[in-house]
Amino acid sequence: MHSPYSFEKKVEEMKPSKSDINWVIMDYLVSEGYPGAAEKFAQESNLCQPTDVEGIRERVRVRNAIHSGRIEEAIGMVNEIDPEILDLNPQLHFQLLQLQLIEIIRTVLDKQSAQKTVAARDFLPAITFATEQLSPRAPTDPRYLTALEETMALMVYTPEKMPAEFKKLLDVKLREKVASDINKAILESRGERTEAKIRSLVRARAWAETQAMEAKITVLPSPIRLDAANNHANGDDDSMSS
Amino acid sequence: MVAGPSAESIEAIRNAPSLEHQIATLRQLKNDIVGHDQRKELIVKQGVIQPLVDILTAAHKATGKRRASEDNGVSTSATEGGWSPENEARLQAIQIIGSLANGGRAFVPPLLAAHADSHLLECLTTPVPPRITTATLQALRSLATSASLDGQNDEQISIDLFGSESMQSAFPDIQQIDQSSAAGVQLRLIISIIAVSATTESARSHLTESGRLDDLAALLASYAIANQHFDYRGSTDLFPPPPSEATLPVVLSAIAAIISGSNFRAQSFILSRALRGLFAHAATQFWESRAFPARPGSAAALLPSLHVPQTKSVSFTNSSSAFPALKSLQPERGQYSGAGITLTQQSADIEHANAVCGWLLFMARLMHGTNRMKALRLVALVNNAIDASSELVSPRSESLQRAREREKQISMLAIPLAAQLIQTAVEVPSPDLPTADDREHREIQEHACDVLAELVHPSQELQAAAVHAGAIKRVCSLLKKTFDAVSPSKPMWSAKSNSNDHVTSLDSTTMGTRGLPSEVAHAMRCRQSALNAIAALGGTHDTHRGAIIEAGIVQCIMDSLKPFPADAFAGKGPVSPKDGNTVPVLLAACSAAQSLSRSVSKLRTTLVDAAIAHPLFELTKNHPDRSVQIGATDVICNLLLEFSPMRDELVTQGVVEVLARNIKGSDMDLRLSSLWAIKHLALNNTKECRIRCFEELGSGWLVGAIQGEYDHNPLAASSGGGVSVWQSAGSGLSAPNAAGEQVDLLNPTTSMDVDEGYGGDNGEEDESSHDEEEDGEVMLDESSGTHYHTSGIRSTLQPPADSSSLSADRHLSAMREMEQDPNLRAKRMDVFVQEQSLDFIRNLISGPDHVEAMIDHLLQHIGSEKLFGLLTEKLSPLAEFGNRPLYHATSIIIAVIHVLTHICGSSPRHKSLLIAQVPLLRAWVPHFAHTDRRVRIICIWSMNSLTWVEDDSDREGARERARKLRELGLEQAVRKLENDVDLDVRERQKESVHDDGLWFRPSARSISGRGREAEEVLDGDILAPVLVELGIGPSTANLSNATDGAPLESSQTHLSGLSSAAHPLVGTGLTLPLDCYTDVYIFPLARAREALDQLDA
Repeated sequence: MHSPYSFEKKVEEMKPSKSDINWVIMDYLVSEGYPGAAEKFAQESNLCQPTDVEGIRERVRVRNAIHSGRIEEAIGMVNEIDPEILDLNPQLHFQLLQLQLIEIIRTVLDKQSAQKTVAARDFLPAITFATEQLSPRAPTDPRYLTALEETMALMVYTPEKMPAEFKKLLDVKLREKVASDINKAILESRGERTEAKIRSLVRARAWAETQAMEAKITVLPSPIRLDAANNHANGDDDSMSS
Repeated sequence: MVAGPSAESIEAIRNAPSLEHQIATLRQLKNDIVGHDQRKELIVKQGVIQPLVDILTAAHKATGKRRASEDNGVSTSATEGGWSPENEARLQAIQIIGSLANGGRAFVPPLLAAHADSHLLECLTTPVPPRITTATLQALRSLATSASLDGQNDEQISIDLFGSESMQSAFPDIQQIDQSSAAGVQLRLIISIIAVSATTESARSHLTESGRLDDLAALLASYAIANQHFDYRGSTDLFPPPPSEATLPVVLSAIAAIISGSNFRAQSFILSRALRGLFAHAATQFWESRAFPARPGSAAALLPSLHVPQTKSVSFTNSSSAFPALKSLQPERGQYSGAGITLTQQSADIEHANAVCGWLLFMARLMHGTNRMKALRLVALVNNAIDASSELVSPRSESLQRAREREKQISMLAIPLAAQLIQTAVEVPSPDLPTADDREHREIQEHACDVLAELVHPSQELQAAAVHAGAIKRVCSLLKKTFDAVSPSKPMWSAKSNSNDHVTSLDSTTMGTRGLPSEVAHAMRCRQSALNAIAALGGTHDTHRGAIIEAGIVQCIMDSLKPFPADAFAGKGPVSPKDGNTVPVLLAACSAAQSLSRSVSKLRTTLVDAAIAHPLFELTKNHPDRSVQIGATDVICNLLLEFSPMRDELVTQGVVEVLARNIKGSDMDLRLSSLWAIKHLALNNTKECRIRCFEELGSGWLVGAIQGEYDHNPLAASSGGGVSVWQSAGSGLSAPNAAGEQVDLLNPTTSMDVDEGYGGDNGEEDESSHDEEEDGEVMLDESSGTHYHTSGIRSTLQPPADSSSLSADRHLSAMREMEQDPNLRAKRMDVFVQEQSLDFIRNLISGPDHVEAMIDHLLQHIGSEKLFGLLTEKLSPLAEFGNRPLYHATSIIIAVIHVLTHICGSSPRHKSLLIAQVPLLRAWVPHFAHTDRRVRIICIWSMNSLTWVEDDSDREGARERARKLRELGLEQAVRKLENDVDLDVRERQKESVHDDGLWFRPSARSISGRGREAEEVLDGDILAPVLVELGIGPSTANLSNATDGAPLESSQTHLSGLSSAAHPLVGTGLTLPLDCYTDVYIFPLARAREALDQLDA
């Protein structure tokens, strides 16, 4: 029934129009937060301007703040956009606070490695912060408790001897993940799609490829080399500056 | 204590040196409290609310002034460009209030004490920048959500947001809204406020009347057009811009919230202008495309087509050409019959309603998770509303067919989805789900069973479909789970012990009581909804009840009947879901118990073993909440039946006194339930117990109840009702009487037959008899001299056959009248009470034993003159209009004649006493020609008993009685029934009147001869359908076939006058079930009560 010919024919029939492709690109630029590129792209491709440029810029500012470790500022900005985001997502709030604690500890650790001395009282701000901000919520859920304990463990080890499981907390990847979650939450609070359409398209393609391989179908179009399917936030590159 | 905001910062808000400083402080405060409930509590105790509210009021004044100074120019200040520091301060204050409101139930009372709600609403009336409006709506939504959480001790916090003008005016003009802008977000917020807070009857009707329901329907329609659910070719000017994907589920749940609990509102939704427009144009387009059927894909099927067996009688009109919209849902079945068929508006309305239902189902199939659940809930509500209102109009075969198609769709397409949702709920989620999914899963657990219950409860078929889909097992395991010990969430940790250090005792600084711990509240909701599903699944089929009990949940129901002890929340330990139940759970447990108690075998085995009577009696006796008392009484009603082993135990515990107390109380619904229960208790009980029931009620009360409250002024009552009148265009058989009430002579009998008998197995036969009855319309014309004072429930609902919108509007206004008119409601209630009181008397004097003694007792305590006077009054016309008398409601007439039948069946002494009541007998005569066949049948039965020859010594007496009856014209009345349309009536009539015209049985020999005849009759098909219809055919065990959730009415009439040896029915093991109709009469009582409950609110 499904001869290759009819499949090819179907593909031909389904040839997406230029404007559809442009729309997908625009959608990606808007939801991933590239306001400048979006505006330029709109001009070049004769699309109408994204409606809410200021909204995109806001999200970009939040993301930049998180990426560069200015968590308190980011929390303030999120609350400025919509205080309900953090009020109703305790887990998200906790993640941000955890990140903030990590940043506090990181500065101390950096200072340590510079001065080669360990002073217990250097950690005092971190401990105060944990007591005030994180520990009230910790007992309400074992997930919080574990996360808090792991974070506190950062203060025990010197950077060189730190086990990998704790070290990953210091990785900037964590910032990127939280930033992406926040981006989604903000989009959701506005009733917009939380994910660029292209991500689900790429996932659908990857799924279809796996299915085809499982079914031992060899005639496949060349695979896409993008790893956008599994990548969360792929890039704080060029146009992130707003 | 958790550090963070301090008393100083609150002071700084109050007396900030500059606006900038104040804004900075507010912003800091907001960042400090967001996500920190402990800090919120702290600052509330320190008195932060009042200064925040002051900022709002100050801003109102400022705006007011500015507006005054701008000489009525456009208020351009209300744009983003005019963003002032005052606005910023106000925004921060509103956001803080919103954040506080998110803190939970305990924060609501202090906020309300400072009138935060009304000040927020005020913000909506003044022109403010959109950001402030959005923040305000968010704060209001948080407030409404927190207020709706379950509290301890079942206290309710109610905020009436929609009563106020400001909320009304805040609802934007949906035609203008650009869904992607801030206004779109605001619209979503407002709709979600509706979804959360439309919980009271007044809020719901307010939203309907102010047109919000229509707006929501328009949004839904617009979504359908934008997403090409239909090939819509009409003008889209009518419709607002389509809502976004995120808004759609909110719209669905808001509509469901508004229409739940009222047929009128549900019909308003179905018949709203937008939906009519949508389907009318989709239909037109489709109609045209039928002429050129070559275009493929022009009528994409929304739903898979299902094979629905056609009934014989509708084979020539199996599809309506007037309303082809449904065809777009089911294209394959399109055998158009073409021209020549006149279709009434009514069937078009039914088609339209079906199309709406199918379209909603289609949307449910497109969605996932909680959204699907919301859509299914709406499907269920709409489906039930269509059924309920087509029950009211006389069902034509065609609309029956439509209903069957819809039922099939629901059972094949909706129920599996609901069952699947419950399956999802049963599965344990993986522990590291993201929070959003976690929340969604909890929501499904809490509501999936409710949706299933809503879907299946009115229909046996659907219940069977749900069971087939494996619902019982899943629901039961969900129910069991709610009793699992939850690990109670530990309270938040704080470095210092929580000292109660605030000194001021202002209301705005005092926290309210906390809500239930979230785990417990979750368990309660799950339990409630699982119990509701059990009640619905076990509603009619005994096998389902068996399966439910086998799943081992009787103990769970028992545990669910236990309220929280009074000190549950004062104690030190954490509350666990095992400790007790909230009021909604108690109610759900009562209805589940009621469902199971309808099975005689379960009643006598499992339920007795579980000692279910005890907790129920406790609830009836002691629970402070009325609705719980009513729910428990309704179950007890079934436990007090003759065959219940719990009867005596309950009497020993003092059930008589408690019931009597509740009957004499002020609550009408409780009175009705209790009266019903005591009626059951009186049936076939010991003489002592019957007398005890009678004494507890008191003859004075009983007489008063039977007399009723409205009868003395029928004109005022009915003209106050203002029931609209429909003059049937085609038949001319129905005519409005002078009271403005529609007296439709066609439907009472036929609709009963169709409803009851046609679900049976012998469908073929029924069809033919149905046709016969339709032909029999002519006969009914004869009796049009008799008018019955209906209780205004059934008769006014046939929509007129003229232009569609007019008819729809009139249809709606009639529905609304019926639901909402307090006069009608009171009158209906009064009719119910009179009926039940009469039935109580009847049960008191019925049964094989004590008949004479009880009649004597009654005559002695009420007084024979008084008693017969009362009965005469009930049979006499209420009023005369021209030459047409208006009588009491049929249910009352039936009850009265049943009482008389029992007296007729008593000793010759009582018979003579009855014969002596000339005015009574005179008043009786016209009812022999009653339009309701049941009345005619019992009339003949009574005459039969009255002329019965008890023994040889009674021969003369009987002859004398027969002579009297002839004199008074009763014999003539019986003779007239010779050619009755109803076969049963004709057969009874034959038995009564002898060829020689004599009224008494000449000898015992001929009686036995007649007995044979009667047996032949029995062998024929006369009684069999009747018995099946009454639910006491072969399956006597399944008692409640005829009841619709209402307590079982079981007072079988024992025609004791026909001594048992000679009674034609003896030996068949059947007593003639004359009266099981009473509760299916006007319309199912449970539904009546439901409707009345809502009106009560």
